[in-house]
Amino acid sequence: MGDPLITLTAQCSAAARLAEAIAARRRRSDPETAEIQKYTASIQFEKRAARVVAKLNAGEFSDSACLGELANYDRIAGELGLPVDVAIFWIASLNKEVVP
Amino acid sequence: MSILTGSLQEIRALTGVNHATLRSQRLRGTAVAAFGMIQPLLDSRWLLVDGLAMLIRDNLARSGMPMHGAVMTTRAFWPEWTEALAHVEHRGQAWLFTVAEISDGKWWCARGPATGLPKLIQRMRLEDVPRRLYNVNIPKILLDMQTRAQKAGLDLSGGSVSLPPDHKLLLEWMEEFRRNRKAAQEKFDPLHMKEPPPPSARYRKAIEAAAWAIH
Repeated sequence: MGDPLITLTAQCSAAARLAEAIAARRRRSDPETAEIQKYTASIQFEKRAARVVAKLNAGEFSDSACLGELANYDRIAGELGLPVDVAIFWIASLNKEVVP
Repeated sequence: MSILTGSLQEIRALTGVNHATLRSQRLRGTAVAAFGMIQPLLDSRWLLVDGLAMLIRDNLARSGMPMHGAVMTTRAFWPEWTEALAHVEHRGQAWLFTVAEISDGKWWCARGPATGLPKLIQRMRLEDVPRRLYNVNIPKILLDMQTRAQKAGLDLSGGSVSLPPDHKLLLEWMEEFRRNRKAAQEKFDPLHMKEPPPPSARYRKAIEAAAWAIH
């Protein structure tokens, strides 16, 4: 059971962290969209967002592992220049799945 | 299919709980075991899942849940964490056992695939988003138990900690417990809940028959 348990541990840990980040984010601000708009109201953001959307469409952020999902959110947040929890809601607003 | 059992000394080795702590927990009423019990169901033999219950309680308490709440949650929601355990152990699936505090006196407990939890929180109405989430990483607990077993020279290959998730006996035990718990669950508050009833004599016998020593 050794190795599979390590993978399962990492997956559970990543999902728990992600869920906690989402819960914290949602508790902090009622209208998430307002927060997203604050970060995204710039032409520079539009260019970055277009690049990320193209990559999402090309399936570049489509790891099947949950740990991959968290890493992908980190990468997307980095590319957009957003905090990771805002990036999560930005992606959610697109109705695009990071994990297939 | 055998459920692993061990002596008190072996369970202490597997959980890292010393004798004084265990005695203190019994005196303070914070002891837990599987099947919603305060002490192991089988006389003189501990199931490994009893040890796992202790580690789940400690995990919840370390995450910031009041100890009494952690004790009652572990006991009152054993079918939920056992189901998660069974999926991890027998199906190799990443399942979480999660306890959430929505507001004062309002809690919920859930188990399910880990990947579903972030999506569930994201889809919730804002007023239902929990203010505290306590996630129990069951694979991590199993991994720690396995490491301790290797250190202590204990062989865990003779059986398993839990029965498979679709095993008839496990389903019956959970059904019986949930039926008894249903009325109390409406008013569930881990800080003020009554103790759950123990399993019936018939199931106690079935557990005895399935128990297998780890030596």
